[in-house]
Amino acid sequence: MSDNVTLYCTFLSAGRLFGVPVLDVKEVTAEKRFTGIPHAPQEVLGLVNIRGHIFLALNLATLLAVRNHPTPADAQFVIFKSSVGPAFGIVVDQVGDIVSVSDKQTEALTNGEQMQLHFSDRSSLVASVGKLDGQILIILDPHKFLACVEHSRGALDNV
Amino acid sequence: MNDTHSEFIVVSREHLTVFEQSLLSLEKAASGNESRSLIEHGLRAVHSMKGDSGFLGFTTIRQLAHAMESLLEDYRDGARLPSTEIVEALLAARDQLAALVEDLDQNQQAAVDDLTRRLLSLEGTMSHAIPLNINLRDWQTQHSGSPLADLFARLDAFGIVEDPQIIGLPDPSAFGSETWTKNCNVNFSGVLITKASPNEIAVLVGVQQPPPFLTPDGFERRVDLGEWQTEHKLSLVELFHELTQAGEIFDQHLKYSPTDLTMGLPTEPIIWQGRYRAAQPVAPPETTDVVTLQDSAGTPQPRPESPVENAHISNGSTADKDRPASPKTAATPDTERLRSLRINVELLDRLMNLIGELTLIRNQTQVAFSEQEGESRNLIQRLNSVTSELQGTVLQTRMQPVGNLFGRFPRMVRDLARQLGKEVEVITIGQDVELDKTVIERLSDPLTHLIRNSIDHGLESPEAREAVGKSRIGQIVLSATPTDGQVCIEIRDDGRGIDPVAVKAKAAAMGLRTESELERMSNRELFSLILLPGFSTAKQVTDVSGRGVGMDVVKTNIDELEGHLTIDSKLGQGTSMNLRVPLTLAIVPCLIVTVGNDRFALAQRELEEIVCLHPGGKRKLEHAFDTEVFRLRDSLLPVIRFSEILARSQPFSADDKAEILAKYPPAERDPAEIEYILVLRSNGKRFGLLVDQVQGREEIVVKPIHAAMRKVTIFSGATLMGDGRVALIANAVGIIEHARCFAAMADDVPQSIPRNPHEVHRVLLFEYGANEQYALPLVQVRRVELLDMNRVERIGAQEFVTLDGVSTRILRLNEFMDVSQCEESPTMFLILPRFVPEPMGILAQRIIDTESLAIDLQTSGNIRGVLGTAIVRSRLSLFLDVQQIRESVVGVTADASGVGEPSGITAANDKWRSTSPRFKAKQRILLVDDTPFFREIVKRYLSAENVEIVTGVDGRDGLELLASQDFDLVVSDIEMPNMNGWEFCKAAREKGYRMPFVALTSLAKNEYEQKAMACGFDDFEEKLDHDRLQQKVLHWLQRSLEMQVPQ
Repeated sequence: MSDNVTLYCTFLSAGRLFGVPVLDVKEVTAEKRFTGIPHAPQEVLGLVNIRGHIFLALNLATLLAVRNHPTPADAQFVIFKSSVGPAFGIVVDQVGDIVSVSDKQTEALTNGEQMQLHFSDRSSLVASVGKLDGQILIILDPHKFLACVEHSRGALDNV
Repeated sequence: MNDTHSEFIVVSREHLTVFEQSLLSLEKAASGNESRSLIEHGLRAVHSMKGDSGFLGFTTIRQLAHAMESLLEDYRDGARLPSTEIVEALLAARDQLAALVEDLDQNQQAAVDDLTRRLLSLEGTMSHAIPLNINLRDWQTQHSGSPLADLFARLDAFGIVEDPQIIGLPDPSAFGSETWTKNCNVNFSGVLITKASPNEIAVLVGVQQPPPFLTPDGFERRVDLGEWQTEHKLSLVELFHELTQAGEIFDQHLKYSPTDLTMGLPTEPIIWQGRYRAAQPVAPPETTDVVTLQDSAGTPQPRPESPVENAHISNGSTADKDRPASPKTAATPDTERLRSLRINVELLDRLMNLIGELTLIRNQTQVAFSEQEGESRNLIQRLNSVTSELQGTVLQTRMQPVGNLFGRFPRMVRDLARQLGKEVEVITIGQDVELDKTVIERLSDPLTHLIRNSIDHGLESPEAREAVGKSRIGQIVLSATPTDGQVCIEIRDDGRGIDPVAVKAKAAAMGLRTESELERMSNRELFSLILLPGFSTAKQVTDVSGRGVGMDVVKTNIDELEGHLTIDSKLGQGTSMNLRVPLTLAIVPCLIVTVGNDRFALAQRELEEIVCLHPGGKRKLEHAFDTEVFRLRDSLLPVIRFSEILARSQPFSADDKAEILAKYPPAERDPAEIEYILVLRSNGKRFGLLVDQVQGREEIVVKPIHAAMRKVTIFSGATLMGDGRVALIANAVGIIEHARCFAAMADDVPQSIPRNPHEVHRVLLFEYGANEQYALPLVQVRRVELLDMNRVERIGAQEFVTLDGVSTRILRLNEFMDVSQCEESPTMFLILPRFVPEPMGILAQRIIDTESLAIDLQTSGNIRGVLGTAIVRSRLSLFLDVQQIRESVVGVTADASGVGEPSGITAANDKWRSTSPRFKAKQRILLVDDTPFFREIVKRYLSAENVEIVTGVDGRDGLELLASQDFDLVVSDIEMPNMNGWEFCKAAREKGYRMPFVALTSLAKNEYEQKAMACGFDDFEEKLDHDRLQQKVLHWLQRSLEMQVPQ
């Protein structure tokens, strides 16, 4: 296995450190005037206007099935490029550094680990886990976010 | 396709439009001057096309354009006008040319050849167009010593060399501006237009014989014309002439090596090559000629970029002198309008977005700097005004003049009129009115249809017009007028108009509406029927229209545009079709409302009106079945609470609805604050949407809601508000579905009666004579007809009118009761009662109103036909007993006619009367109903000599009565306070009462059948259905007797 190095944009949400490939990120803003969408799945925070374009904001904590996690006042909105999905982004507690992680440092999740992470039903969103110095970086696959939300709508229907 | 080609297409379209317009106007042109300038325009357009196409190597286009030009050329001086035949041919050629332009890659040589031949044959003996295509260098070489000018001089001697130019016949792969001079072939081409007769030319050049190389068989052949010329001492012109006399040359082109012409003529041979087809069989069908001519120096050094288009100078025309060779055409009044710059719509949309962004920044800046004084405030104000203006301008870029749309109709009208043998003149007004691009595009089809209809159905033949004293020429006026955010487009003709009688007949025959409905419709309403599918009043189906397809398509198209079409017509004078369309689709007028803290937009087109509910006001919401309703004038409007819609993500279940009703009990309902009901209509369904506040109207730019949110159906989109936040656009259709509002409710919502413990009835108040006010519960009224007294027919003393094909008896109240007579007036009202099988109606002089009231009847048994009296609107009102009136009528009918055949109903009545005395003892019926009014009516229904009726007010009362007295039959209402009918019956059965129980219901039966049986009822019947109720009661009384006998 060659030692490829990937840059990740990291952020904190519900006390954990997450990362997405930096090339998937369009921009990070502090805009948070979300307009809630009634009937939308709970993962959806709402719609937001970013310079004349309307983006769908997802709550990362809810997306990862973390319940009752309040969104802090200084939360930030990470917008993904259109190659990831149409006009959407996630709201995170705090945006961290950009870190480079080599393939050697990452590992796919085993079942047991998934359970430990408590995201059992949303584990498909986790691409791999990176081992940083003294920290674990949970690397997410943003391509799967929207599909997950659309399914969630179905799940809600059965409640 | 490269840029040059697409540029060519755009420019050619403009030229074609100009050409067409010129030709069409030519037919109407008054003065010689006018027609001259029109021909000039046309010539210039087709000439430019010829130049451009030649330049780019589209030889077929060039060939056709050339033929058109040369044909029109003869009329340049404006002394004569081209004949209709010629105009026709030119228009056909124009269409072919347009097809060629749109499809550059397709080779349509054959069609073009035919057309070219047709055009050239039309030129007749006036002139001969001899195409030239001369290898300049060869000519130079062969005529050593003569300058090229000599060649032109010789050609000029025979006539006019038209359109001489150096054209490139490029190798398409090598074509390009950079490589042009190096790699492209260059050719001198032109057409010799000569007025000289063949003989004269022959004399001039001294030949009598046709060129010897014309051989009888068609084959390809190369001829060295230079040699031939030397041999025969003939000029090439003569040769060409001879050739065109005998046939035609086609596929002609020059072959020569790529050389930079600016450096002088190349040294390699230049070969003119073409195919030749003779018209006469004797001549060789196909020949290939090679022309090699010679000339020496002194060549004008033509630059390929500027084809020598100023040939017209020799013709006295200098208009083209300064024309640039680039495709941007010179601006003449006609072409000015068409001058355009093509911009990708996406680019414009992006521009729009950017401007939206700019507006937001401006708003923020305003806030940030609002504190400061002086310089910065000034700057902000300027920023403000520039931004607004910018926004307006960009919006305008999407706007196009209607003229672009109208422009295509004169041609269509002309063709159509010719086809139908009619004479039609088109007048267009308001071409400068602007509409959004998409609207213009989508208007094209419906307008075409409407105009076709006008010509085909609307306008008469010239003869018919003359016969009725109109001018032979029919007129169609197309006009566009801007009105209040909309544009009104009118298509008016002065034809025969639409016959309302024919429309009525047709509509009735098709069963679209009943006769009485049609009778009541205004002409405009009638005419709108022709927009329904399958409707055509044309007596004959023509190619053009009359099949009845089309108008409904028109309607669909217009509906999609959110437009509105009305038709007005006066028989014999013409028809006017008025079309209202919005200026733009991108921006939608919306109402902004709030629910809680959220803001929503609602498209205004769905909004009919807004009703305001004030705290403490009289107008309140009520409950009907499972929905809240509001009495809006004469109908019940189901009301949906937007807040409940938003709060419940699942479509409403029965439980949801019950919960909502429980949450807002009608009795205590008095809103703390003003609430608004938006009366919306969607898909023909009308409902009220209750919101907290109405903020106002705003024009918004609709954006789609996110793709992942498509399951959320109650919103149709999103938009940006002035403060930069996103607002959702509510979707009426989705809301109705979510509320399951109409799913459970009967179709005739307005007719259903809300039932609540207070027993409010709606009664119809009317007058017959001047003295009395009459009242009839609305439940007993089927409908009210407007009666034209002229249509009343009389049989003896009885009056009848035909309604829906049924002869309906008219009842005059003074004939049954001792009441005042009515004054006759031309139109009266006829009240058709429900639950009366015989067709009859009660005549009324005036309908006063409907009134909701708790009926507290003073029974006055003395007056026949009257249930009782009550004070309504401070007037004593007589409540009619429809059944009594009916009985007396039926009785009267039987007596008067003298026929012993009683109707079925009368028979039933007789049976009722005659049977009841047969009961041994007096039969006792317990009637339980909470409503005094219904109790009274039903009691009257069931009254007979041997029947005693005891009444109870509710289930509890009923049980007490059962305990204290004996009854043969119990008839009970279902919905009652304290103890309802279900509970009453159950309790009675549990206590062991075995007599038959009949349920009275005002509800549809099927739903309650099972429940009724489960509770122990033996039967059930609709409360007000007199006949059936009597029959049922009779049946059960007999059963009751039978049950008692064995005991």
